[in-house]
Formats: sequence, C-alpha cells, structure tokens
Amino acid sequence: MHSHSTDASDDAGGTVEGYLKWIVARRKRGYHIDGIVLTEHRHFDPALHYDALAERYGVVVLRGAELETDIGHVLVYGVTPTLARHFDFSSVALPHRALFRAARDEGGFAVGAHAGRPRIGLAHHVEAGLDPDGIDAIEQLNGGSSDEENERARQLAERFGLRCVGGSDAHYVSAIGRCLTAFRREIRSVEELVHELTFGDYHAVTVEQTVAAAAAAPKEG
Amino acid sequence: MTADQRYFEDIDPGDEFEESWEALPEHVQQYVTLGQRNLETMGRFRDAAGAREVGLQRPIVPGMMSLAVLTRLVTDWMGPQGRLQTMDVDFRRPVQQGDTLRVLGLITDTHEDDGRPIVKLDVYLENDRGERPLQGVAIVELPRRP
Repeated sequence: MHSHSTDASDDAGGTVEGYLKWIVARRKRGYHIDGIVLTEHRHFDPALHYDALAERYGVVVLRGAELETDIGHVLVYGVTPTLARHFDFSSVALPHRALFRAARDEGGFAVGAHAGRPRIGLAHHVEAGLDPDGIDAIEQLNGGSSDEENERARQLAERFGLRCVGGSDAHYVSAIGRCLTAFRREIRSVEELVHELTFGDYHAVTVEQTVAAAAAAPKEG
Repeated sequence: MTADQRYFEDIDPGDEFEESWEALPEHVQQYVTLGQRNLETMGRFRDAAGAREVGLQRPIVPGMMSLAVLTRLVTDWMGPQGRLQTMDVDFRRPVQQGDTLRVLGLITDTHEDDGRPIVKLDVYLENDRGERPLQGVAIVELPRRP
C-alpha cells in the first residue's frame, strides 16, 4: 500500500522489478504477499505501466501517490486527471481537508500516511488540536516507523474509530511487504482497491502475520 | 578482521547476514579525534547538552562512522577477492549513542554484467526501536569458485 521506486522517488534505491523478485523469494519462504501499490513522492505519471512486469512475476502492481499536506503525508489511491489538475502534487503543503474531500468526490480514497510519526503523521497534528473530521483511515502499521510510532497510530485509530491499513513504506527492495494490508476480497485493480478501502473489510498486518493468515479462510472472489 | 572468501556460486537471493554494533560514546570520541576534528565544536557528538542545543534528545554518531560500520559488514562478507563497486546509502534518522544496532546485509539479486558475476545487496542498520537509520544498496563483484 506504500512503496517508492527509483522510477520516480529520488530517495529510493529499489527498482520495481527488484521488488517483484523479492516478493517471489518471500513467497518461497512462506510469506503471503499478493501485490504492491507504488506511491511515489509528490508524483503521479499516468503514462507509467507495469503490466508486463506484474504478469511476469505474478504480482499485482497498482499505483497511487504519496502527497504532502498541512497535516503530514497522505496516500492517495485512485488518482484521476481531475485530481491531478486541481492539486499541485509537487507542493509540500497541500490543504488536507480539500484533498481528502476531492479524493472521495473523484472516486478515490485518501489515507493518513505513517500516522504516528512526528510532524509528518496525523497523530502529531491531532495532539496539537486538529479535528480529524473527514479522515476515514490511517496507515497504522508503517514499515519505516518505530514500534512506538506505530503504537501511537494505533491509539489514534482507536480514539477516533479510524480504519487502518499497513504499508511497508519501502524505499529498498528488502523492505517491501514489511507491513501490509489484509483484505477479505481479492483485489486486481485500483478501482477494486478503492472500493474495498471504502466499503470492504481490511486491517493492517506485519509480514510475519501473513504466514499464519495464509492458512486461514480463502478469499472471496 | 577479514572473513573467508565468498564465491558467486555459493549465494542466492534471499540470503542474509548480520553483525551487531554497539555505538559506544567512547568509540565516537575516538573516531572524531582520529579524524582530527575538534569535539568541542561538534556538540551533537559530544554530550547530551550539546545534542539538545541542536534539538536532539541524545548525542548521535557521525554519519560517516555509521557508514564505515555498514561498509565493513560488506567488505568482511565478500572476502579479499571481492570488489565493492558501489555503496549508495540514505541517512534516514540519526544513530544515537548507546544504541545497539543490527548491521544487516540481504542478497536481493545476482546476475552477470559483461561476464562479471555481480551481487546486489540491501544493507541497513536497525536499532531496537525498529527504526532503520541507514539504508542502502551495495553492488559487489565476487570471484567464481576455482
């Protein structure tokens, strides 16, 4: 749900193909990872496609964006041309209420990224007095956050009844899949992802938890 | 200390190796002194008061010292006939003095480049709070087994 590649994030060292190779290697060791969502920093290039790579490695590859707002970073899934036109994705201080509302109105879904981090996570701003009205979900488990920061995010979600996703925030190959989101239904497209985020059943998990979960009930088609 | 020689045929993507590193204040002092820098002017490496002056909770480890530890992990692992081609590291958080860190390498890819056996590794430091202050990628050329 949250990863960066050398294709568009200047602080990333992992290539998309590197991520997919690593996922194949992880699967051989018993971990359950179906796919990734590339969320490059302040960027969304509609011309980029990874269908051939996804097919070659048998991994779902979807795309969103990680944008920067006045309350920290926000993951946006279902980026449309209208959304890209209305917001300057390169800005580091987008108005968060307008962004969350526009994402929803445009048929997308926005999530407060690494919510427990100082300054760039939602919890910090809520503790300073922000009303999280209009925010439905946060990234509760983030692979780049400390255990303490992820706990802070969990407490925020519990306090305000927010829904929770997990994301690896991978910048390097071996970090992909460190934290994930477990959905009840199978997801093959961004449209299905947005639908499940909006209406479906999901929760944040660590990659270690997927080993046990893989043996649990099969997914609904 | 140098590890035994590592050969291209003996490694696979997914292999991991690691060491432990205790970032002791006396080692930082020694490092800075050896670098002929004046610790008195580098408060963030010296003591808690110096660290607080620049907004840090605790004194930290110089970035180049952390990079040296990470680099040595790779050069010890590859052995004397290995060749470290590149090491690209991202400094994401400060390394705090007194922390004990895991120093890790993971093989993410192996391939041939113009007939040369190349190994790509993810390398990083991880503290006991689950943070990865340094992360990077190393490219190593290994010899083939004779």
